[in-house]
Amino acid sequence: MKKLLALLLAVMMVLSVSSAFAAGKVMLYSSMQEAQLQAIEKAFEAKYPDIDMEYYYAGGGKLVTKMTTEAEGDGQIACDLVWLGDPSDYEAFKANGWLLPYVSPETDHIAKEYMDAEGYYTAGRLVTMGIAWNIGLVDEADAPKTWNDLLDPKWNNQIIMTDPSQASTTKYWMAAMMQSEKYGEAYFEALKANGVELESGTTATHNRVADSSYMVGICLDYVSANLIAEGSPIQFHYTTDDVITMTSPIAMIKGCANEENGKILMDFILSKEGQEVLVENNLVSVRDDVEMQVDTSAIAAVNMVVDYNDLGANLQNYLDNFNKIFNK
Amino acid sequence: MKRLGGVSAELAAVDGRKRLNMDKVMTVVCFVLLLIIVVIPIVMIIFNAFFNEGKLETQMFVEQVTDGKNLEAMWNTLKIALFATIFGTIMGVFYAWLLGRSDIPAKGLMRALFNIPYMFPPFLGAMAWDMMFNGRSGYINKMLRDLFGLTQMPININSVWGIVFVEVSYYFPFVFMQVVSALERMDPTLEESARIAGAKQRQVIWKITLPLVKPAISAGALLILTTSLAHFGVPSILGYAKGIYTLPTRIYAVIYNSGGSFDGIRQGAALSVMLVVVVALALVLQNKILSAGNYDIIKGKSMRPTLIKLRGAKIPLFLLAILTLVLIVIVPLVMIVLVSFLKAYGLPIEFKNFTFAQYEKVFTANGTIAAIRNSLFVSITAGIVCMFLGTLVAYVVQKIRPKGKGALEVISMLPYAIPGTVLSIGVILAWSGRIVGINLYNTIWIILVAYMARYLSFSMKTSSAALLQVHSSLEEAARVCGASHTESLKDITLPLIRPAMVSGFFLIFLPAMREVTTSILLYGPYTRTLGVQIYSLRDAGMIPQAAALATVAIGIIIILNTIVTKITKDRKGV
Repeated sequence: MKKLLALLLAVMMVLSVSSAFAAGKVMLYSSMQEAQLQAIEKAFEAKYPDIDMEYYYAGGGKLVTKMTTEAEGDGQIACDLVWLGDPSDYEAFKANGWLLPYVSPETDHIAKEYMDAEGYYTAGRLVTMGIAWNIGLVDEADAPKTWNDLLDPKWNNQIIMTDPSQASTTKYWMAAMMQSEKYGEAYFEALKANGVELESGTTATHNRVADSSYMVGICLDYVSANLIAEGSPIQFHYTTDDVITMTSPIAMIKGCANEENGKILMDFILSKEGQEVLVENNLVSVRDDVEMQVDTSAIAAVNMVVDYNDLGANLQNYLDNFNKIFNK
Repeated sequence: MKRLGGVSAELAAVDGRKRLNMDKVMTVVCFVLLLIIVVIPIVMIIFNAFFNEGKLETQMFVEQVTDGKNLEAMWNTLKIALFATIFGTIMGVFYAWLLGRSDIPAKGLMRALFNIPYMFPPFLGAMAWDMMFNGRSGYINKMLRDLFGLTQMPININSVWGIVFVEVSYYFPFVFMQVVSALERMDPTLEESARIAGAKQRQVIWKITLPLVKPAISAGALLILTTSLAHFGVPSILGYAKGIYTLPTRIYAVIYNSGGSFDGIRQGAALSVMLVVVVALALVLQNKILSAGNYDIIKGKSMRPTLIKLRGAKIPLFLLAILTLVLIVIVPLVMIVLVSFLKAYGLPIEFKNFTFAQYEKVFTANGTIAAIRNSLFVSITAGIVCMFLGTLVAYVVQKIRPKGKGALEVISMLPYAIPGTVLSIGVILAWSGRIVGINLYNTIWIILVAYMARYLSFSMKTSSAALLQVHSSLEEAARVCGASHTESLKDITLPLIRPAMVSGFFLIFLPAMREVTTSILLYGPYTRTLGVQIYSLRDAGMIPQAAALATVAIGIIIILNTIVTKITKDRKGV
């Protein structure tokens, strides 16, 4: 028995070590949903069979934690590319000196406002926050249409949102709302007073609406679309004003182990081919030459203007205020 | 005693320096390994809780410890652990007595079945109970509400009591197993003489049986208490959305709230100190209430005790036991399996909503196979290393008795009282490049180091107990017959304690396979463990997929456990 164990042990050791040294690798940290990362992996590896694309999937907050711990450990973040939801995170990454500037040739078809002026990061997709509801509990006509509709007492104790500390998309949305004069802290106090509750992950929030725990949720377009495609009993729409869209940027990591492969993957993700894979998986493309069902110009028309500099400077304050209001 | 001491002294004289050297080497190795595995991480926590950039700074610590939310978390931790221990102990003792000393039918089978809750990972149990009795959307809750036309959900598992209930369900076997084996080893003539002397059945139970198994109860209760205080999975799954924190979940939250900055880790370290203090207090309190004593009247020899006739209560009690098992094992299992076939969470559990897609996702996802492999690797390695190291420490403490053996014992038992979350933070602080540039972060080795620290005491305890039963006269007899010290160790002591060593291995291997508390803070891109993978899938909201992987995990655990039972049975035969 001991021999058997020893053998098993040896096999395990070999297996777990061997995978870490495969040639032609690239590592992506991302907060996207796993199904989409798998779709990208499949398309990418079909085109570049010599490169083994690996990804590490977790919520934005968790990934930032991970990167921080890595950077404070031996100073090297253990991935080649990072792709999160919230552009303001990238301002912090840039300031920390974590990023490697790289302007992909594919950016010819990407609007300048979707890119960092110094070339440190480029939007890889567009993500928009809106309102989702459970189709068994709420009629489409009754569903909240604006952020202020959520303050209606009829939704008392029936709203769920994601904890902004855990998910970068909700953090961005929260910060943008805090920054706005129209909403600000008072809005979140009213939201809390109306019994909004927090869930720890973006997809989890959507599923809480789907499983009828809550009637409505502050939700993301692509996560909702994916769930609807699976048959989940939820529905989603954008708000009719003050739409908050974020540009989910992708960036290279300074000193990364697979710089060349990293660039190849970034080019692929930003290419027409790569963006079409995203659109097939219900994401919104940043390119001007990819056909989609979502009308990005209509969304852009009611977009809320967000001051990036202010976000970069005050993000932590907004988060602290939010946590104070929500008694966290 | 004098005579024995004399023999030892003479033997030492025969050996001259040799024995001294061998013992010395073993002692030094023990101290060094424990220093690396246990002491350094703990020192790093204390240091970082009170020092910042090398300077004493208590402000952060005071802020954390007086923070209302943290105090509330501490209170919840205590409350949950206390009630889980009380109810778990009552339940464990009751069923141990029922299955050990009464004439309940199908005893052998029932004994085996009652070990299942021990195998069942508590956080999977929490997942299942949340699916059924979530205060807003539980499937069974909805059913009951519609059935009885209620306006509200009848049961809310997302509460302190819900957490206590789930913990009791999966922790009572700690007491159950200890007490069953104590009852087995008890000298039945004691009870018989009490009966002959005219005591009633009830008096015999209260005055003879219970005091005799008190050390076993106390040991089991202590296990429930420390496990519950340190537990992350159940309160995190059931409490997070409702804002019910315990210290372990609070530590996890604090680290993420701060965006993972070093400050966050330091705050985590401060809370860790707080948690350790709570555990220490609980241990002292427990010691006061149930001061453990050793009763010689529990013999190693197994004698067949007289069984108590349940008479009319036989069938109802049998049904109660079956019902308990169904409720805490079968029902959650069925729920997890059902949900694992759902297309999307929230759809009614009907055949038309079923699909195999979740299993397909599980087996095509990058992480799943790797997670199973990682878990096997770390649990087997930790099991083997701890088996030997624990025996070494036990031998040094029990037989060599060097100066400072007390310290050695305390150090090796420390992680037993130190929660997994705390240990993780210590290991991160110690082994992510801060000490002589050793950086294990993001590798499987950091999880292994943490597991070793966490589980060392398990194997040490079993080996220690076995060594206590090996009287030194046996080794001395071998020595008198001319065996060298190494020979007597190899041919006498080790074979005698080998069964204990093997069971020490499995005591580590099985819980490590389903572990989530420690690895949740340590995993890296390539090093998710099985528990972490299930937890992350669920946390990310992919509940049916998490359920599918959980089903696979439970399958693996059942298979492993069957193999283990087979192996240990064979061993007993030999």
